[in-house]
Amino acid sequence: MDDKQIVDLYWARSERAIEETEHKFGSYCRTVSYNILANTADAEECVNDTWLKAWNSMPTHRPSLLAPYLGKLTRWLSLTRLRENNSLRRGGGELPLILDELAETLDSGEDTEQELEVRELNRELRRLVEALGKDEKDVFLSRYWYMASVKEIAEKTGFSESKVKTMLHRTRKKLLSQLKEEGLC
Amino acid sequence: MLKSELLLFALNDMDDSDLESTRKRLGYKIGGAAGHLAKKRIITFALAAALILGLGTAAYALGWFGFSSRLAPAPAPSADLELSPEFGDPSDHHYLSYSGAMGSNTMKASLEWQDYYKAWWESEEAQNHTNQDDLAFIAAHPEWKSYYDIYSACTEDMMEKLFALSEQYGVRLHDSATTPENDAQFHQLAGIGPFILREEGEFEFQCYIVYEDGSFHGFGFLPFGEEGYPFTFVRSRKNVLDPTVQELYGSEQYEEWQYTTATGALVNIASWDWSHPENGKSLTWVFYENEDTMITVFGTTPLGQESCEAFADSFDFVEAGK
Repeated sequence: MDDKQIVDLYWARSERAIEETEHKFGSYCRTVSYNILANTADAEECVNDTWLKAWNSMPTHRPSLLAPYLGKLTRWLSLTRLRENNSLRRGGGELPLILDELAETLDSGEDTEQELEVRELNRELRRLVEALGKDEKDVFLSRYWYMASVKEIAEKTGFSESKVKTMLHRTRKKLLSQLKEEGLC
Repeated sequence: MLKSELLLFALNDMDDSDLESTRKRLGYKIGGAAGHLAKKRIITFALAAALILGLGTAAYALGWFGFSSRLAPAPAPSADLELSPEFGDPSDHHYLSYSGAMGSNTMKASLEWQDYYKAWWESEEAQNHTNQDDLAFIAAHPEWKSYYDIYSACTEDMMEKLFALSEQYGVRLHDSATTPENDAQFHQLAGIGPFILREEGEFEFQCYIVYEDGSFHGFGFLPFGEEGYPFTFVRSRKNVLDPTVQELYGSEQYEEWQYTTATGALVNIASWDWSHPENGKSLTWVFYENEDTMITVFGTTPLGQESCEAFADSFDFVEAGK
């Protein structure tokens, strides 16, 4: 079923919207969540919560592409679940490694209370990603949005693992430089 | 949070097209994979949300033809549902067919397909059905690819059921669906001229599916004041099985009346101040039909009968019903 037909079902408060969403996006959202949580039961709950969020947001939203819309909801819910348990750094899968990589570049060792920085950081991240070439962009988002392992990224892109690591390192450096320029780091 | 943790959250809202491009490169597929999900739990969420939305709304139902004639009682869903009494009666559950009124063969076929489809979803077969099964089904029956796309029929039994319904009730199945590339192609495929009665540039409309008989689904935005209100517009021929049977809760919450639009079309309007009353919005449906065509339009409007009628006046139903 077309994404827009599914959105229509949400708008008409049809339960079938959930069924069609599960049918079309269930495995995808489970992958997004599992890559963060590395726990099947927790990922299942986050995916269920994603459907509830989707149900409550349509109407009034009308996303044109459901995959990124639902993926963002799932990713946010999964990260929030870890943060609320104060276990971001004890999270499953690649997450502790990913945080270490980012910390090497960004962290000064002090906690920040600037939750409002999320919006500013997002603006800079979008600017950074926009300026990347396609390969760099895919590798960066694979690692830090989809939380894929370096090995998986290498397999899917056809690059060697060392090349993937080099690309990620360069992009992180660009990010650091950009954030310093903007006084965000 | 440390900056690195904050960054993970800040990354969430990246550009959709970039995320899609990366998803495809990673091989994270969408479509067709029915996992081992606790569906009843999800449905319970959905139903509870629908009923919560209906709380506190003063309502009555007139039962005129129009909205009522398009609804058929549906079985009470979610047997495991436990609701507080104030949420109301979960049995106020209806199907709405785009292509047939109550008692018509098209509606009977739609309802039977809906029941069959829902039962399939509850079955063990559905729980074990995977994306690979879908791909194998299409590979074995490439001639049924369009039915898979349009009706989500993904097994031989489902296809047999579709064909049986078609024969039993004398209804056609859609066998081709096109997403028009532009307005000109849409109008050519649908065989109609412009039908939205607003100034050029004042509204948006995008048709996303035109079927082989000119039936179509589209959506757009109409301005009320400075805000654009989204709507969906569906035209369906009467002798065809539309794949999208709607389920509705809270039909008794609607006010319904007949109205003759500015261009002389007699329509039925049903409106429910449901969605976000604090934001001053209603969910409004407009129904029109002629000998062989039914038109269903729904969207949000500002509160009040006048706004609902202005919404109906925004369309040339005679042109759209050609």
